[in-house]
Amino acid sequence: MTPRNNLEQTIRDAFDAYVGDRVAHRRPDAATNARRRRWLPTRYLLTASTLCITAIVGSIVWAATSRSTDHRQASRSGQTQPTNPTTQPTPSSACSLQVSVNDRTYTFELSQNRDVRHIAASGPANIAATTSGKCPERAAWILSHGNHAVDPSGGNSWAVETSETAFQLDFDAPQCSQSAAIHGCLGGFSVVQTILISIQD
Amino acid sequence: MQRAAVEMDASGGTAQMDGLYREMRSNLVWLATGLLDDAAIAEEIVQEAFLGLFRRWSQISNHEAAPSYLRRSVINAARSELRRRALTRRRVAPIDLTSNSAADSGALLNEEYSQVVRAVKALPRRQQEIVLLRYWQGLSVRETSEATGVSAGTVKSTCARALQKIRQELETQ
Repeated sequence: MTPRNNLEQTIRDAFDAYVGDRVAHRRPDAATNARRRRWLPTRYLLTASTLCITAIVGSIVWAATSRSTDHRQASRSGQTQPTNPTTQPTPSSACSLQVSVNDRTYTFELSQNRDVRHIAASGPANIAATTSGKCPERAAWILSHGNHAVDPSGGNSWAVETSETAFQLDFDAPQCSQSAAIHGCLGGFSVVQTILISIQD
Repeated sequence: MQRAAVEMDASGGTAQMDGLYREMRSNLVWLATGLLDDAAIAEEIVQEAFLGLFRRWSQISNHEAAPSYLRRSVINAARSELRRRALTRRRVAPIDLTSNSAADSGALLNEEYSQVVRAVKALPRRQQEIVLLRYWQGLSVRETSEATGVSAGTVKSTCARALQKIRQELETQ
């Protein structure tokens, strides 16, 4: 017979592990989940091969993006593009996400720390999202609205998913008068930034 | 995260909502996922719960009750989702961690955890909710009572019955 306290603790641990595999988000107090996971060889190999492919693709995208970003920054600041790449100044800007809601801009400096934010605004919504700076190769962004974010063709809902390191998306959606959400992932599978945009009618 | 870089509307209720959102969102997503086994639906439910609170914020007299309101909203939405699944016959089959659909997740769980998850998922809906809120989410009897809409006495007796069932189930496995 399992002692009562042990059973309660086991329930807690079991569901931490069970749900932890289904949810990209991790509670701060569930940090020990990863240690409890039993990694099977097949899964380990799949993950390793995925990482290798991602690293190769990511390095190509990263090189192209960083060159483009450097060029834009130089152009904005009136600097001429150096002819020798080794003499380019290293941008100090971290990866950031600019969210514009009805012409008001919110800037989020993104790091590996998980965080959630809430923006309140008056509707109808006009939303734009842009990333800039030195973002990791492995980034994914999901912008969603409505009750069924997974169905981009749905009537009152839209969702955009992009794995671009840098992106710009504009939405002029009069029907977007309730909410929108942006989930950003950097460098892995965990969601690092979740932004809920509440729009009042 | 560098707070200084974040420009937020710090006025009144919005600032409080921001704090609640940061503090509770992840836990609520975990709770809804535990009840529904679907992280995407869980995210939507939690988003809707926060929006509901945001819309009613000015009408709520006791803002201390906001966490309780959010939990209850999520529980109610999860119940609706489970009812909808049952009605449309798209209800997810009882958790079978040996099936292909859950093989990936099941493979990561050790046998003891798999048995416990199966035993909890086999409980009636209300017992399952109460067990997860009390022992997984770590809520008090009063908080569990507020979230599920049953009395504190019912929470205690349901917990006792549920633990007994889980224990019996584990012994037979």
